[in-house]
Amino acid sequence: MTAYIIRRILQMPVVILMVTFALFVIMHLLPGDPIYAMIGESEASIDPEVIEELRGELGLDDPVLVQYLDWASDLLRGDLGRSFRDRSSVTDAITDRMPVTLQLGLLSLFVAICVGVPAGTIAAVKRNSPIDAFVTLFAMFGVAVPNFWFSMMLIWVFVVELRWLPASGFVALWSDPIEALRHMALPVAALGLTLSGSIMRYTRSSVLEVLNQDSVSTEKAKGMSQRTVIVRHALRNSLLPVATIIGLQLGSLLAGSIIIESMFALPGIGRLAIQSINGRDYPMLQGVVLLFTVTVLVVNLLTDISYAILDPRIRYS
Amino acid sequence: MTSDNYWTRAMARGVSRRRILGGMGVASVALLSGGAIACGGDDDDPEGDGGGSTETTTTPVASKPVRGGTLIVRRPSATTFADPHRSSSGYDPTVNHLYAAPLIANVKGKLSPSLVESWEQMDVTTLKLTLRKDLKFTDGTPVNAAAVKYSLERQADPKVAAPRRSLLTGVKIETPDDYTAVLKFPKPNPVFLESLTMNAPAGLGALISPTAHGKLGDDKFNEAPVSVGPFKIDKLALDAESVFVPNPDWPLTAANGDKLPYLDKVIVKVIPQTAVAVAELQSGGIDLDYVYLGENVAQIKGQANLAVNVNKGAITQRIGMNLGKAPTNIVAFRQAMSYALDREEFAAVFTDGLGEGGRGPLTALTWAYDAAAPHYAYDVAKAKSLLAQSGVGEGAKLNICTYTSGVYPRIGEMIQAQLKKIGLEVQVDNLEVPVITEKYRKNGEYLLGLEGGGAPQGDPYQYLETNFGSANQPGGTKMPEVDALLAKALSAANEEERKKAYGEIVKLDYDNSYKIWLLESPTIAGHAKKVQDLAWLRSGSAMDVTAAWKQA
Repeated sequence: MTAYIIRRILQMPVVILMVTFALFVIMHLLPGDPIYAMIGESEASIDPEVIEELRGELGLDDPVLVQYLDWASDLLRGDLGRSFRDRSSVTDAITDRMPVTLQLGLLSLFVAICVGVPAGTIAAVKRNSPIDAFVTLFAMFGVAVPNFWFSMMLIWVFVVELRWLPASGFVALWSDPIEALRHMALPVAALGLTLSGSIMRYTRSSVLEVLNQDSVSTEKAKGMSQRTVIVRHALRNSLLPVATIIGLQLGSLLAGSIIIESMFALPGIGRLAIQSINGRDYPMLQGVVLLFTVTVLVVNLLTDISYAILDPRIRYS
Repeated sequence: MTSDNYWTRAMARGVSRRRILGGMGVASVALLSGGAIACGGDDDDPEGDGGGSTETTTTPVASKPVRGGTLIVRRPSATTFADPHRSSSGYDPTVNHLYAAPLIANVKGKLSPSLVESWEQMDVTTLKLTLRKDLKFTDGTPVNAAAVKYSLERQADPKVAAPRRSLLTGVKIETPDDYTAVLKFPKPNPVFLESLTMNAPAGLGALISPTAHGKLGDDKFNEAPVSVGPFKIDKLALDAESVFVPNPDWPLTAANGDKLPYLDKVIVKVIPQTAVAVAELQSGGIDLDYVYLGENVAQIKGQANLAVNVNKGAITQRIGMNLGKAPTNIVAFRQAMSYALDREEFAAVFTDGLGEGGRGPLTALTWAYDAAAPHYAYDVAKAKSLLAQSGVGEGAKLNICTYTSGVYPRIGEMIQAQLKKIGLEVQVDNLEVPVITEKYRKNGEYLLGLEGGGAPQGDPYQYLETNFGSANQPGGTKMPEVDALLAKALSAANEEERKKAYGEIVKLDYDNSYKIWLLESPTIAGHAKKVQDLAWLRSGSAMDVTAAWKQA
């Protein structure tokens, strides 16, 4: 197990280099000069010498490989560079926005689990009942519906019609919990409920599989109550694959945060990513992608480790 | 020239006396007339000067401005630069709330004092500016002649890339005393004063604290700018919510002697999605939003708690062309396209009836406008005839780039559909701004490009230079005739001669159809009805909230 973990950790830098290099090349292939993004459209007439000077200052006149190696060597020294757009520190920009994305992500995951696991379990226990049909329909809705459409519907109902909640802005949980929850309610609902669809489906099929096992029938035959059988045995055993799915949902969560943060005007890392793409802000985008890559790799590793811990039959070699 | 209260300055901007006073006595009239009044700026302005272009729906107002309250203003994207000299954003409330312009001008170009108390054109190349003596930057340092020199010289530095730096080429600035700056120009520059009425990108107005900038440097100053204006920073988060509070040292007052501003707080909130912003406006989550090209206007008008304030003719939408490439280098071909486009249909579809078909580069907002100037009318038969004359056959292929945002892709599609009627095949590409700059403006890869921007108010020199000067043509096409006329305008002895030179440029544009003037569209502010006394800034693209107040 230890050897496996060490091997996985050693693989991480390779994956990070591959992802960041691929992104670096793709960004440079995109049309749109970062200099023009930086100085604005009105500056088409700017002195070419100034443009060349700016290009030199930003290192954009070097070959792509050299630019990448410069970035990677700075990274090894813990320096993510400065934004092309406003010359702010990339590390500071990401650190400032991290709490927003973390708050959105963790609350959405919490909602997704709180809705998905119980609903999936109930659907499995009440298989082929109207409740099952409703839960399955809800799960399909969650999987199929685009985040932005669901967000607009929530805004229409809760902001325009009922006027209960705000549609934009961020308040940190630790500064004003009530206002924070009011501001987070719609984005978390939009992201969490759509994520809960997958969790619901996996929980349902996993619980069903366990309920059909002989051991469960034996426990029922021994006179255990259905509640005990479901909670202590069926749900416990079926949660293993569900935990894996929850870990793998992280990618969807990060992708969803990009859309949700833009919709609800949350100044998080997802919106920073969009701004960086639009502004051809290579250092900022590299920093954001690096963070996303490391997060996904670490969470996947933790998921694999937890899998082995939860199920002693699993051995990594 | 010596009056220095808010009343005169706001009047100069075209804000009506009625609006400034908050409708003293108007409430009763309004109530009699059904509860709503048309309270446009033209009430005191039969010539349509300034406020004449503004159409406002509002509620009866209280007789006296109320102090306090928070105004939440939406901005659709993050502000890149709070440093006003580096800003290239046309509409930037952050910059405009923090930095008062040294001068104020009305639409006819008449100037009024603000930070600059008086000015004197000593000879054709020497200008003397005298500052008020009671101004302080928000760091407590004095606003003096040294600050004027520092701010203007900084904007002249090409590395700062200030959009209007060309107006400062070769300018020498002397400071004979603490409050006097003498500017010596290498040649006559009659449009310079005009540039002091606006901040970047349209003008050179903003003054920064030399002490703070010297200490902080460019990047840190952008994070904590030190300004002089009615507001100062409480919290600066350029991509989220910035909070501005009254600057206690701001000396300029309202007509009745009231200290300004009235509001306790102005929050600039970044909300990228227009639909979300409109929802917030409807629910009271924000108080003010700018809506371009009529988007969502009907929705806002339908709300009892909201009003729209329309600044007519503030924006021109046009099709620019690569004049160095076939077939757009052929005059008859360009004229054919000009006749083939039904501008009134564009106005009806894209401006909710608030805009008009484009007639030429200048609009009624500038004194240089000539209503009798010739313009293209929709005439498909003439278009086909000119197309035949041009030697370009039917089925010719063109490409046009438009922006990805707002209604621009749809405008591109309508251009495509209308030009198809004379047999032209147009490929429409919706591109991001840096791609348009690179591919259309610099490399000349597109024959046509949809362009949009603020219509000129006052002297149109900079606008005409941007649209027709050699330095700004897609693909680098040279425009010697226009350049000569621009130079003639600059050296003209008086406004009448300048108007004549500008008229010749307009005529040249008509004869050669350098651009197709599609639309004169308004800038539209949607705001809560309880917000009173908003006035359009000189740039025409955003509102001044210095004298704004909120009904309880």
